[in-house]
Amino acid sequence: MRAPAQALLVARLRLLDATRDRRAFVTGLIMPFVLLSVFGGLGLLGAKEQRRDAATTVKVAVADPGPGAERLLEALNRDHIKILLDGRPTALVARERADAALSVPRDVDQALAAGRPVRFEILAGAGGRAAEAIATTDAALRLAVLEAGGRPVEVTVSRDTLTGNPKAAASAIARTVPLLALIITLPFFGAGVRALASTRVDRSIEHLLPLPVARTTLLLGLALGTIGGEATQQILLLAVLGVAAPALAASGAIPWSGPPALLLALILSAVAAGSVGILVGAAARSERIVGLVTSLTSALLFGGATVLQFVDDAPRGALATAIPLVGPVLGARAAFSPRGLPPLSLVTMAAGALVTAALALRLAAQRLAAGGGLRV
Amino acid sequence: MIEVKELGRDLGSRKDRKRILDGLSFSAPPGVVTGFLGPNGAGKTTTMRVLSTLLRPTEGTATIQGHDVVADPDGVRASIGLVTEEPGLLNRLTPRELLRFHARCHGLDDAASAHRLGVLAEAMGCLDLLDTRSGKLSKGSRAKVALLRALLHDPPVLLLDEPTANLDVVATDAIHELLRRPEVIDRKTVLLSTHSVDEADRLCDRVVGIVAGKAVVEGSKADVIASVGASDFRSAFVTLLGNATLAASAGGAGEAP
Repeated sequence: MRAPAQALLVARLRLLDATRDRRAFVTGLIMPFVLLSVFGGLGLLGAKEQRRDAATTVKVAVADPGPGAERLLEALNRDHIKILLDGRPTALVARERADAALSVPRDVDQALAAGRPVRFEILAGAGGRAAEAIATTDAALRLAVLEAGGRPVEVTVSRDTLTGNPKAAASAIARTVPLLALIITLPFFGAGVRALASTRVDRSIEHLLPLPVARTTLLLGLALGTIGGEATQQILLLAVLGVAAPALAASGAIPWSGPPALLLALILSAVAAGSVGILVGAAARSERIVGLVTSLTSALLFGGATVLQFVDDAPRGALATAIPLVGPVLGARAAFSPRGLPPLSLVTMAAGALVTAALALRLAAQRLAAGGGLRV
Repeated sequence: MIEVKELGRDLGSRKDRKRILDGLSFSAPPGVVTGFLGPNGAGKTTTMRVLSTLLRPTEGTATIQGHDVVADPDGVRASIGLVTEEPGLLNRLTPRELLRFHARCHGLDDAASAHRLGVLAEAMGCLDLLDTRSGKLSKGSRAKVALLRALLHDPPVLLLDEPTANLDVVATDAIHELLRRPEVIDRKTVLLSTHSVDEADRLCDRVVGIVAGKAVVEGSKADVIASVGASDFRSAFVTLLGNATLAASAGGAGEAP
């Protein structure tokens, strides 16, 4: 029997064992949603706290730049409103990082000069302070128009725009996707540790090693089976993502390249996390310290990834995405940004994950060959 | 045929290195059950692990059916059936599923393995166990499944490492009864590691005594009895092993873990 067939045989055995563990299966199904609620809640609290002291950010789309529009912007800028000038349609700017978008109409200069009322449109942003931002913008705008010499203005704030803007709602969901990637990745690290450690606990390793199967093939099979078992536990979350991601793309909130890039980032995340887990599982001298080493490694690696998850200016270069565990999270985040995930980053991310996997299998196989996987 | 020459193996960390096997030499011929006896920590399990390619020897050689455990581990693995103190069954799988997996790994097709499994399980009286999840089996039943696993691919060499260590009297008796059956042992080379002299007396044709990683007795049971002029195998072997243990302690031989 050839090595790939042997690896699949071992993987099938392990997968069968994992999928029959009902308690772990149910926990695995529910846990990601619990983690998502906890992390998401904490993230929202943090973001709210951060926003409390920050100035309102308003994107302004000026259809007809001129002296009147300039005076208007100067006046707006004084009122604790950070102006980000953008010539694109307001619907597009609404899903970028702004609290509100203000559309300055084409005839604003003539209208202000003639003292005619001007009709402005305010659009809700994607953040959690849309209502506050609109109220601030509205008040500042009215004042700014008066200061610019104009007459009281008509400001349109459509309820439809506020509550039914699919792009704004979708972009809020899209921001949680990298968090999902992190939550999905975490259990694969544990699965990697268990791939070898569990065979020591149930003593099956003593009966797997004397089989006429190469050590690396055996390890590959164990890893595939255990990590595959983990994937079946994530099926509900993956199904939610599988429906949500194309829907987000269809709504225009994310680029169409986002879902496939996310899928690739998730697969590479699983490979990288599982590989580091295999290394930890193989290196641990006994199962007593496996738990301790696993917790410490998780805290260090995933702590870093979590921080990067919430940092706006996280490194997104090709080299950063090559780092196992951190790279795929950054990749998932980049895949959902308007800029997308650069092909070079995808290549380095894949290289980082695959090199880690090859290294993990080789080192773990060497340790097994030296008798390191056995109780002595 | 098993041949072991000047086998050495150290275990433990670099700071706390222990000599477990210290120039161990013996042989086990085909067609007979060779008892591998010694006190706890004498090096029996380490020897079995070296013979089953789980551990590499630090020095010396060991061959099984002419295959060297270091130079040709695949040849060794294809030639052995291993039973250990802990069967290592996956609790959520049935014995039939586990045994099919082991048979496939040894290159048996499903039809051949199903036929052989049926014959062996019937002979061992455990056909009814095959479709029960392993986690629900008694210790005795698990030991039977472990023996089935070792015999399924019809290996020429059987390595039995304390197969009855954790079993109650009834289960031990059942395993002993199986190991005395000609259709189970056939013309195989059987090495039975045990610390029970009674078990060796009951099952073995010849014995190898090990103390502190060295063989101190080797021969047929009649030879052992004659060498000390004792009335039975038990007292003869205990005398020989006792003397060797005292000598090893006095000589500062490597202490077993």
